[in-house]
Amino acid sequence: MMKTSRFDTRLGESRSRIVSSTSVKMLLSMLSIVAASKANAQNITPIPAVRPDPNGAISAERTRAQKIFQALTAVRVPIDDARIVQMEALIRQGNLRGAAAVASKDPLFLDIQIRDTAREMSDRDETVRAPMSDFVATFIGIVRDSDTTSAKEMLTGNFYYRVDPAIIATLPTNATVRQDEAADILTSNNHYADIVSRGLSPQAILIRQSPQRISQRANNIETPVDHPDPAGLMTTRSFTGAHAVAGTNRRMVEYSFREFMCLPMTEFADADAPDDRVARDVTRTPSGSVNLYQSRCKACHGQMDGFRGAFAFLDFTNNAARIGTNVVNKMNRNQTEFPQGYVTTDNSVVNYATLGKNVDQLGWRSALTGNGMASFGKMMADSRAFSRCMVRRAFKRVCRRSPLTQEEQVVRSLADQFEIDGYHMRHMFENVAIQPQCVQ
Amino acid sequence: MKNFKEMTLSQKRGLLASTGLPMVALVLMVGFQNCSPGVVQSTKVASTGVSGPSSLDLESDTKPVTVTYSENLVVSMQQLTGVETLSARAKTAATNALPKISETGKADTVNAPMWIAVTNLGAEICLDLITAEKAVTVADNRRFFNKIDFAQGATAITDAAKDDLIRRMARNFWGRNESVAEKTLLKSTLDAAMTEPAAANQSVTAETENALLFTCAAMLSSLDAIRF
Repeated sequence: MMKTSRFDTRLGESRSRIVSSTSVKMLLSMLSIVAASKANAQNITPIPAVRPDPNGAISAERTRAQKIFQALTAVRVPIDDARIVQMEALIRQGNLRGAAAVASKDPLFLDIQIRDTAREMSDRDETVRAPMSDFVATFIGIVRDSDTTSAKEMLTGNFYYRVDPAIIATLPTNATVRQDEAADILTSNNHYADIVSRGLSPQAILIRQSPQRISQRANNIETPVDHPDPAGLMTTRSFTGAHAVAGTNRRMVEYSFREFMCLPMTEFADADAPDDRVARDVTRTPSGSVNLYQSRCKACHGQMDGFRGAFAFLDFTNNAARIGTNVVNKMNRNQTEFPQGYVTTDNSVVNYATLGKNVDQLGWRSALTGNGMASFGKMMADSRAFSRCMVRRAFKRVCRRSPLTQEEQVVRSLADQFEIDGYHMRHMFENVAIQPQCVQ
Repeated sequence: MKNFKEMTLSQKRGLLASTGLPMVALVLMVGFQNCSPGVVQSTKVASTGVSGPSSLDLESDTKPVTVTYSENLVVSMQQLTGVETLSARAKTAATNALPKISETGKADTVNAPMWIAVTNLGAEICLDLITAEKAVTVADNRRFFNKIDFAQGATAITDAAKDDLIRRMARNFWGRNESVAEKTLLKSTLDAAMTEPAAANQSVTAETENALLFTCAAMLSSLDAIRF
């Protein structure tokens, strides 16, 4: 029997633990990105073979440059990497923003950092393990195209991002990206899953497609049509698939606030808000107590059900978002719970989150009523909470922690700058990364 | 002393802060032979310490201690080593690491299985690096092993060659030069390994590669190589 190498013994268990995982496929697919052929320009950023300089000095500026690069891209690169050297020179000149821009222009920024930011927002679990999807691709595309696309279009845009068909045409037939509009984009995630399994760099291959589309189903046949009520990321297949499937469409309201306003229901609940829009399926006497309804249930439902009308025509069935011209049944279900409750008859939206603490924390700046998802999306996009939320998300990703209570003013200042910059996502990430609280 | 169940929430928090957190720190520092300065980076301006009245909340008060998420760890290790194409073995190691690598990188999510997975992954990527460097016939053109003669046994690796190797890896992997203590530790551990009996049927040149793998894996999977 062969003896174990003495080095193997010293290294201990370094190669011995193998545990099967349900996520194996996903990681293998992702790994193919980094192992992708050099032949295609659309593959992930090349991995430079950095030659260390054993005798070179490492300045404080160089170290800071490396930290800023890692903060912005979520990837650690060698201290002697040309990108770090370039950033060091800019930091020496006092040009911190310029240094951060080197990192934010690197493909790793979009392919890793922005991808993971979007993944956390795209599904119910709010995890970076969420799959590549139309939501993630569109988010990456919006950030990539920050120079021409305002972040507000995340909630108002009538477009989505997909793989450029011209690039697909260059791929080998046995490693292509499926692109049938009905089968692979509107009723499944095939198109986006293939970006990962084919080892493609999202930032290099995505193209903006307008208008948004949905699939209409009749006699088991899927027919793509223009989306009648587009609202950017909120009306992507993956977001509606996560939150409009089954239920009562309240989850669409809840998660729209969670992801785009950074506010869970409990933080903007307000028992003083009117409850005339609270539907019939909400009992007014939970555990026999009217007071409990008045103090607890109403605090969330009063506002949530006011917004919920935006999704009155939306459902997610047979793997696709469906939007008709009639109110879907789930909006008015369980009508005997409190028959005097509100009956949804159209897709009108009423914003009741306008009192008390919500005046400041939400900061509405446009019409408080409207119809459909587009008007709800615009309402949120125009609010102060949206810009602050984008800053908070960037802060959490880049600085790897949530802003502290005493840093609220920093968040607000960055949000103000974000708005002045025309909701430029890439610039906002750069501004966050150069904050002394973030990377030192 | 009160039963734990009878304690108030703040008392329980105080107890956990005074016992649990130091234990986490201890496991991190003892379980890993790294020479990293400071494990938990508190963002609190005036913390009174983990057992003081304002106990440390790892989720909101600290930065992560490691690169997060296994996909990003793989990409980082590739960037640090310059290994562009992973071997099947390295891909398998990365796949196996997936459920074990912390998503947040926070100190309380770092555990023994994670370190084993990181070491395993680091070793496989190092093996890819050694294979690639060995294929470069002109030694001066190698990035890490330009003072190594792959045709000779491990005992032919000179002290200067070890110093050079450690310096190059420290710069690329750790982003800094190694300290005297770190160099001494790495060399003495390597020397100790080399004094043990070699594996049966193992060629002397394979022993050279093993020595390089030993050093590379130890440095690439150390906290400073994967820290945020």
